[in-house]
Amino acid sequence: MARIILKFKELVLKDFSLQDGGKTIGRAPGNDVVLENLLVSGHHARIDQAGGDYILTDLQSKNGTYVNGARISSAKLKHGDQILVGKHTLVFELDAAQVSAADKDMVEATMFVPSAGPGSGQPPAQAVPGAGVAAGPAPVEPLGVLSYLSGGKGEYELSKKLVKMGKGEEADIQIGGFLTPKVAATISRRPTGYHITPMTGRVKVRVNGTPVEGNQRLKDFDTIEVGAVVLQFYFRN
Amino acid sequence: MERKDVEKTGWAPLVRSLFSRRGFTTLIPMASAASRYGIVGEYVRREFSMKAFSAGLTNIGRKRDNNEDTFYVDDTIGLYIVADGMGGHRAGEVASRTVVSSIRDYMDAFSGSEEAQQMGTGEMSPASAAVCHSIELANRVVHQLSEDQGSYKGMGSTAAVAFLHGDTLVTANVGDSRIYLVRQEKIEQLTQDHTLLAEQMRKNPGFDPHFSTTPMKHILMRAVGIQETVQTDAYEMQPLSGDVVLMCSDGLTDMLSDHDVLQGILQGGTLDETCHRLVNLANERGGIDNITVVLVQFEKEEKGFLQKLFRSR
Repeated sequence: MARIILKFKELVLKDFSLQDGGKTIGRAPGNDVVLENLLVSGHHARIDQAGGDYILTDLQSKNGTYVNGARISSAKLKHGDQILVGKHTLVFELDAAQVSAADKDMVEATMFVPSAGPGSGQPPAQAVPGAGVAAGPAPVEPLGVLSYLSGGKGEYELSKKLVKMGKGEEADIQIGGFLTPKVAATISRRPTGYHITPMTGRVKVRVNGTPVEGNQRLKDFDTIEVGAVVLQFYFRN
Repeated sequence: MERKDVEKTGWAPLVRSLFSRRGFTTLIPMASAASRYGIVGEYVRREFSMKAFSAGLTNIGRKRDNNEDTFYVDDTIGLYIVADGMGGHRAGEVASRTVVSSIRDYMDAFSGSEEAQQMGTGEMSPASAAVCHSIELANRVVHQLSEDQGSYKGMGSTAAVAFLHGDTLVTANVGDSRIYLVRQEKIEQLTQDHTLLAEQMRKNPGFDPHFSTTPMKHILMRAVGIQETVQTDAYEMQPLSGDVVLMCSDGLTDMLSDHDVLQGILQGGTLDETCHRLVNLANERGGIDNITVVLVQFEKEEKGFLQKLFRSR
């Protein structure tokens, strides 16, 4: 069975079994391995079991986590690895059967990190990031808002995945004008942010006065002109 | 004979009035009335109806004994899927095939049901909701299989799904199979990888992956079929004529950078040829995993520059 042996200099202090899953390491009480040392952050690092592997992750600690002398953010542990946290060393050990199995499994196989087990009381969406690495919650994607400068009043929150601007009934933002098509432009919320795309050549779409071709990612306080409507884009925190 | 009547009563006075002094005052109210009653709108809508055509290729690569990737392309309903399975023995293959067939069956039913196409919720359009539900269904099916049969225990799969519904393209994913958009010689990833590495980079933008001694990018934080529920990311966009969407398993992107992929696409040829070119390149670079590429090109009446590159039809 996998275990970590806690050492201070050459003195063996304690032995932790990893049989029942991962371990957290830090100065704060409540960690599985509490290290009373000012070089150790409150929540310094953690070890997670992922399939048959153990993953060590530094929780963005102030003084870092080292494996065999190299500073790491995250590392898959091998038998005999020396983890340095502050002035303490943790030696990772597998038993003989696991060592030989690990040697065979050198292909870079895809693994899955299981989320917190049942009874953690969290819905899976929150539990999954907690399974691995996160120090603190995942950042919330900021919400984009359009504020009318001209051609309308008030604000429009860009909470939909795709916002259509045009004359059609389905358009979220109405743009008048004889030549305006049903959909003159769209704003799509993507992993990389909000993108505006003109859908025809008939209505010019400008961002900060420059015509957009293809698509353009919106930045805080960009000014958008579609036909007679002028809007300002900003992120709401 | 009929045409003559039309000419007399319909178009001729209008055309003649264009050249008369009162031309503008006659034409403009008529045209605006036409647009109010949807005549112009109809024209616009037709112009926007987007067609998609596609090609796909999967290859075992150079290091693996079996191919655990599965893909599906269907231009009739506009559905495209890439799934990369994992699990011991042959379980990975079973997982990815099950994911593809479950999603296909669900989306087939959605496309045939007008009722379902009305059901959206808040920020989710009906099409996005359907894609998410299809992945949830796949998750339940794979999870159940893995519970029922000992040899399938722990199997799972990624899922990357693109679905063209009307003018809107829904892109959704779980895991590390990716969807890219190539538009005007630029490439943009439309999905986020659900890997330990990608999550770490998102939480800490300054994070240097070279610090890591782990193949963190092979550790999935989400997968289809591993747990009882799964969370899907879905996005929507309206494709433009000439846009190309590329979907792939990590066997491609482990070997090729985004820039390499873009160059491979911009070299042109048919979609089929481009799929082969990308797969061959990934194999030349080592082919450590199964490689799957699906290319979808969007077309309407206007000619985009990429259409000239892909002279396949």
